[in-house]
Amino acid sequence: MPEAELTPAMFQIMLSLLDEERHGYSIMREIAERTQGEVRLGAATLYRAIKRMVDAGLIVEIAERPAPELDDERRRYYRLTDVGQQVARSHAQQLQRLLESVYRKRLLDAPAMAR
Amino acid sequence: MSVDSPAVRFSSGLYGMVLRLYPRTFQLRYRDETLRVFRDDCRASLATGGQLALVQLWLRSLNDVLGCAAGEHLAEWTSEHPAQRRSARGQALLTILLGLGVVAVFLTDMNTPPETPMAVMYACALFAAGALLPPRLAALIGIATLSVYVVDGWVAASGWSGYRLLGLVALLAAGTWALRTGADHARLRAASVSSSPSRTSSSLLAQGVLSPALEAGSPASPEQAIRLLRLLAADATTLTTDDLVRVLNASIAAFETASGAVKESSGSANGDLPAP
Repeated sequence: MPEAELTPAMFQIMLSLLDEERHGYSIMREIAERTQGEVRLGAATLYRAIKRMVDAGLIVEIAERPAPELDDERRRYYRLTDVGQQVARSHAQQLQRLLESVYRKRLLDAPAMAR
Repeated sequence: MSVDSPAVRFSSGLYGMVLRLYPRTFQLRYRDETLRVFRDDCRASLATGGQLALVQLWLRSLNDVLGCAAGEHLAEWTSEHPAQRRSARGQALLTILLGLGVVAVFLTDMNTPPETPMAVMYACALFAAGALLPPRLAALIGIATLSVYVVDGWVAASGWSGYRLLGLVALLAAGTWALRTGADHARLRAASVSSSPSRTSSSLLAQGVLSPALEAGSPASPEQAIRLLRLLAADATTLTTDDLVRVLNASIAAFETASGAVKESSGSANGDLPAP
């Protein structure tokens, strides 16, 4: 069985869904805005990642709709599951440890508040 | 309701055609959504950057969609959905047995005429087609194969000998099996679309939750071990044996460290949990 990996695209989608339930285009826009255009997921990459995450139980498609004024009835909305939140938190901790190593090795200067 | 510009309509139509390259299972679930998001992206690009932005979007998207389509086909091909895995194993065994049976029928008779090996070859090709190809393609290959065999029978000098008729029967049996096998594959692929979360969750869980705990360089704390054991209880049916062993060993190590009862004796990796 091929090992499923938490790809950068999947982690970005998880971050996007931490705040609220979103549909595909909203996820794409939120990621582009949050990363100031540095990360721009294509529609194909977005839905490939969504498919894998739904299959893995990290996110779910929700049946209930958001508030009517925010709703777009043609779209599917997604929510992060409890397992998805745990995986996202653990991955963030991994990244944090990696970043601490970067600071210890003086590859980058640590921000003042992290000292 | 706004009407899309011709550029957006053309782009959407073209992108929709490219999405046909995806496996059918993906198309059934996500084609419309993917197309809708691309259309929204087209509108936004056109509104903010004009035709040049639309061209840039296409340059990014073409590479994106073609790569993902190839990846999805590969993923489907190597899919380990339990139903598909059982089916593939069973059908591989059936293929070998049927293939050997057909070969045995023809080769046990020492008077096998020259044309019968061709029937064996055709039959093997049909088995392979049924096992590997979509039903329609397998059917086309089957029809073509039978046609060639029948036409060859008409024009051959030996005509319709008993062996050739036997070969025809074997081919019909092989063709029927090939079509049924192809149909089974299609049914299993369709069933996997609506299946429950697959076993990939265990790998993601292992990577996201277990790996950090195990690779941090020190044993997990008892609290973390308890959390891992709760996860194990909630997700035990989807975890692989390796993941189960890792969780249990990590928990044992955590409790041993906490109680100061680390054992240095051989085989301590599989030692019992210390008494509370």
